[in-house]
Amino acid sequence: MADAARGVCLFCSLGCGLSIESQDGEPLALEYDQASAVNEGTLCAKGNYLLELLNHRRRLAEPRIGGSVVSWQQAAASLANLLRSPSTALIVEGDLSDEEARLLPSFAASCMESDNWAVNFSTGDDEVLRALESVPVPEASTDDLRESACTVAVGDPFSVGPVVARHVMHARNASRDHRLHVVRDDRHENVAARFAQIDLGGGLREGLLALLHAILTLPDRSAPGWSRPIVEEIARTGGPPAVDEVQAVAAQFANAQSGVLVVSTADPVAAQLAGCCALAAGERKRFSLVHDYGNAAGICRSVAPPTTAQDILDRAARGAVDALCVLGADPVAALPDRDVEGGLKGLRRLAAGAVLPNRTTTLADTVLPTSVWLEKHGTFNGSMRSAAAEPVGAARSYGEIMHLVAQVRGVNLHPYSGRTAPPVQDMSPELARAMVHQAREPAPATGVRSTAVRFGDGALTDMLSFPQAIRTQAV
Amino acid sequence: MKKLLVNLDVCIGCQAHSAACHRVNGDTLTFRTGQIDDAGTLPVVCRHCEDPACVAACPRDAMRKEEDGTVRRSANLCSGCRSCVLACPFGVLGDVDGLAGFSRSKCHLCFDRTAEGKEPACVATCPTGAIRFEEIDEVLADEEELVIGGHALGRSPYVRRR
Repeated sequence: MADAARGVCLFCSLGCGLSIESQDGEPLALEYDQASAVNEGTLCAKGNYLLELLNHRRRLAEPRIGGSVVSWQQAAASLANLLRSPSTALIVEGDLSDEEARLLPSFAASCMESDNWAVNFSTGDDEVLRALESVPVPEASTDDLRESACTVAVGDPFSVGPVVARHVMHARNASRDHRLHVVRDDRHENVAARFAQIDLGGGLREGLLALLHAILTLPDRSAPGWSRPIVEEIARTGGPPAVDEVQAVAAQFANAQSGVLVVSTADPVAAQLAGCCALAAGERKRFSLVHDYGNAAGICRSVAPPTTAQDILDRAARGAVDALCVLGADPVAALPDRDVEGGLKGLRRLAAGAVLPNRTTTLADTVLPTSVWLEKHGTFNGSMRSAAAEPVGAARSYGEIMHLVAQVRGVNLHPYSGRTAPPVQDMSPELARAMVHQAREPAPATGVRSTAVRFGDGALTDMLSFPQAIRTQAV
Repeated sequence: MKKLLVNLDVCIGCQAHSAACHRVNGDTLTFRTGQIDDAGTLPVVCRHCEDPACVAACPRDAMRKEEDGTVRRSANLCSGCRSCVLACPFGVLGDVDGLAGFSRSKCHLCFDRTAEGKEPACVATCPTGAIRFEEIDEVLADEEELVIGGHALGRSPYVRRR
């Protein structure tokens, strides 16, 4: 008898629902979750191969130090020792659950001697989000995408988020007047190649600067106050970049009843320019950022890592970091334009946790097997998920690894605080009195909590449809 | 009969259908993607013709038009002569190395899935809803949509807004 468990895909930000059928803990089949509010059963090409990630024959299954298999206790002791150095650093991948992300500040405060920790988004989403903090443009919901009269796609959001493409295509198909413009990113040619594109010549930044200038200087429109220095600066530095199609696109986007600018880029400068374009185009224009990683936006906003993975790697390359722990990420492969490999080779110690062997784990002295998000409980994309499959071998989640290291250090990790929670035995009489006093006060009447959950793309779903005990007998 | 239809107005060429087909059909691909120079990609799939040329060409009766309308290739009868590949006017029958793979590499409209009440894998996975599994007569009667491409040779799977 096979079990069917519902899970969520975290290959991109959308959080598509899916179902894993397994027998005796071994995942056997992937099925489409028609009840998922986000994707209504559909999956992209990457999502279709999720099962191969779970039971891949090269999965890392046990912790190793110097190539020899060790127990998790030995590995945790080694990791605790590594993090004790004052010039140590920690990078954790962006596919953390919300709970694991909340543990991170507490873990860093109690188990690390430095404040060098960051959440990595291999596409640079953290830098993009930081750049966008200065652009107060409203974020598009699913409805905005579907009802948009003019959509401008920057980069190739369709290949990163095909479900976003579904909403855009719906808008395009629903109205003959809908306009879709693709501002091409040089990195992508696959999906966006199907649509008429704006030829940027000089690249994404140049094209977006031209688009911004064109929107700001449209006749019969008063440019917002904040834009005057930008227009003057563009004029002072040789005028706007010459891109022929941009004038028509700017007029169509700015004059449309409603519009959405969908952006997928790792370039913070381009993201900021795109945000400014949406802001300059008027009140009924919205912005939609397609992240490569599911919890990227939420983690950046709620946990606020003190630094970025790129900063830590740059410091490692300069010799300012001598010991590094990388959980989940593969910065050597993800950042080919930086000399990450050279920096990592110069480290005194390097520990790397990963699902499959990668270029970073080959450089590491300590290698830790980590679990895929489908193998752990937690909140992803705003909704509670149970594990859809058993972890392979001795694979552990980031949260479990943090708890193991904390045990070695003799501390209890407590989420939602940067400090270590005092054990109950150490409770002071004052604190005990306050607790008991509070406990004896009548509790205020509480209303029924909303069970609606908003996804990263704005889609609403009902929390009740994702109860904690998801496992059901089926098939 | 229900057939696969590709709405070219909403297709983004993401090839998720190929991934799904590859996954559910045991590593053989029956729903391919054609690459058209400078224009993008086009899903290419068996049309389950009313009078299939591949069935007429098969010397061993391995290609059959079943009662439910699907054209299927028998794994046991196929000798791998590739007559059907040559006969198909749409070029949808693939050339796969090895007899076992060859005998399976033919769209069967996921009859095993549809028997369980599920949609064919390519339809269930399509992120934009461009691939549909619908009664062909109803689609032909639809005044909003136009079925295009080689209508004379067989009922084409491509749909566009009129």
